[in-house]
Amino acid sequence: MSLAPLQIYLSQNVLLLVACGLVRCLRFASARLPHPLTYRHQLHCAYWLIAAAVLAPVLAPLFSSPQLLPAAAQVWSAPSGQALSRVAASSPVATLSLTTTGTQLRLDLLTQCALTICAGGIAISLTLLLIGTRATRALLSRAQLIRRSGALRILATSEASVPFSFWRPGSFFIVVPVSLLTRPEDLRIALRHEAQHHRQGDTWLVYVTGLLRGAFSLNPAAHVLGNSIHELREFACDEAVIARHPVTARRYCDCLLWVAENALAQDLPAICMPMVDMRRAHRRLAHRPPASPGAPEPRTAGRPTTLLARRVAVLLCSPKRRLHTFGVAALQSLTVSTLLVAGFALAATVQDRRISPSEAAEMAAVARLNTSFPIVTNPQVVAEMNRLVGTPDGRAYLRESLRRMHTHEPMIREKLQQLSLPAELLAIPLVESGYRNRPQDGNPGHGAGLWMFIGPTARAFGLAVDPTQDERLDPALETDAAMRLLSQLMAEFGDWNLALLAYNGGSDFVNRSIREAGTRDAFELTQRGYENDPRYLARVMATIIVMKNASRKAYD
Amino acid sequence: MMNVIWRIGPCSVHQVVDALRPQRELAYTSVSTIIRILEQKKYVLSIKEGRGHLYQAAVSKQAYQATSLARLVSNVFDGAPSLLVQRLLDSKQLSPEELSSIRASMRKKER
Repeated sequence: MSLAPLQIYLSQNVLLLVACGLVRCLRFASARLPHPLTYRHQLHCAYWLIAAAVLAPVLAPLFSSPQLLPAAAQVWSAPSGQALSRVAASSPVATLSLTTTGTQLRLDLLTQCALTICAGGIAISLTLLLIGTRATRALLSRAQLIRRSGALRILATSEASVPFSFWRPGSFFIVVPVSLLTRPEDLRIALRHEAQHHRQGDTWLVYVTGLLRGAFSLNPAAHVLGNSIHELREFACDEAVIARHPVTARRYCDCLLWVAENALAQDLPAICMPMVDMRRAHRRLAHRPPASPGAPEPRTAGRPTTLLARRVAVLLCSPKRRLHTFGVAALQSLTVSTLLVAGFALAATVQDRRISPSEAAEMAAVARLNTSFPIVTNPQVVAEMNRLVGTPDGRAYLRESLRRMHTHEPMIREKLQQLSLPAELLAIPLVESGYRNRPQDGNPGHGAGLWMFIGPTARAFGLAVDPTQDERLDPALETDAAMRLLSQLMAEFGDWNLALLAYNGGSDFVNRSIREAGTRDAFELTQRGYENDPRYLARVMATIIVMKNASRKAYD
Repeated sequence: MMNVIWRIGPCSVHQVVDALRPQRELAYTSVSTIIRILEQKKYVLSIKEGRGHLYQAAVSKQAYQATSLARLVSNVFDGAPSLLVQRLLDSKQLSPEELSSIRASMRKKER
């Protein structure tokens, strides 16, 4: 199960939250500047922030981002090495471990949930857009054409009480209510306002924002951002009409209020851009509890609470001078780059601890440098690498074993050099005992010491093993015996993989296996059932590769 | 607009625009659009006349008033005509002549 879709969707959700905060900060800061930003610039900045929030997590994996934030979660091949063994036959179940709480969640279920929420939200949004488009097209088909200019059509209808604009590919529509035709000056203002919505691209971007709201429907930031953008569109539109045409702010406000009075009973589809949107004001009024006599005044008393009231306030108190182009560019760059940095930082907060086959091949190539030891990578070795590095307990085992190895490493290396044996054999005690000097347990068939020699083998190599004395527990003596045994096995088989198989199962067993199977490929022998421990050879190989790539993968 | 058409009978858009002036300075396209919407709602009929059209009322003023009143009573006065009359008497300063005319109409209706 790939982590990328979940990682991208979660990062996009977090970045939308950041974008929402940045838009709020920008508007707050702009309102307090002596020469504020124009609403057009604020709107463009909001669009850039949303685009960056959606695209940065998609592009971030293409670049190696440094880990600027602490890891919020880690992805493991399985919750434990034992769990990995149980499901080895079927597909392994990767888990997402939240490092803050220690909770483990199944990666496949999480990914399915995220994709279902995203795809379901988009499907619902698309359905609503489709229904809205059909309703609007039906209304347009009954409306009377007033004028046509290129792709723009101006229509009048008695079915709408508020002017609105609508876009569909290749066509731009402005629809005015019939009652507005008898008010020529208001009609001109309304047409300019709606034309400005088309000019700003609001009428087609409303589809994009609708789909984004659907895709991130459970994220409150997406809805807050959607509302902010809706407001900024209207502010920018009002601002542009006042700036481009000879109409006073007061006259423009009169027109807005007249339209608002008529818009109270209007319910247009979400894809239409009405001159005054009373839908939200309606909802707010409907949910407001009735004021009781003697109750204290609400906190919003004296402040414009509806969009219409804010628009009128903005129009009547519009500053004469605006921020210089350089200042605009600096503020916009600052906010967008803040979001991009957050995006790239977030990309590294979920650490994927699993090793992919391609990554294993790269690690094996590193391990093969400056050695003649036959290092093999195959699915069994990759599975064992994931058991060691891709599970929390495997990683802990490896970390502790390597710490213990440092105590014995100089002694073992010295003996390896004396017999001209490869340094890769340092991996054997790690697999056998985890570099713990383990005494004999109750079962005489089990081994003891670092190298886990069984009693008969130890005696054959001159170690005293009896009820009063066990020389296997002397690391130097047992290491010396192990070196002699491995040299002997290598001399006998001429192949380190077969020698390792014989170290685990005995040389007689390996000789018989070769005879019966007719192959000298140690991994093929294992796969065909000639083994003492089916995972032994792959485990040693995985340990060698991981040990020789210590700098690549941290074990903590 | 309907008042103009009832008053002057079959007429062109230009004639309606002229008849509305100087009280209402409306553009030709605005008047034309409104008349076409009235035609769509079947309040006005169009007759082809040369290159243009003449428009005439498709409903009488009395029928239009009755329809409009019925809609008003239904939408605004919860379907109760008495509320409409009550509101009219409360909010409008009626002359004694108008009041006696209303009384006469009511007596005639009661018989």
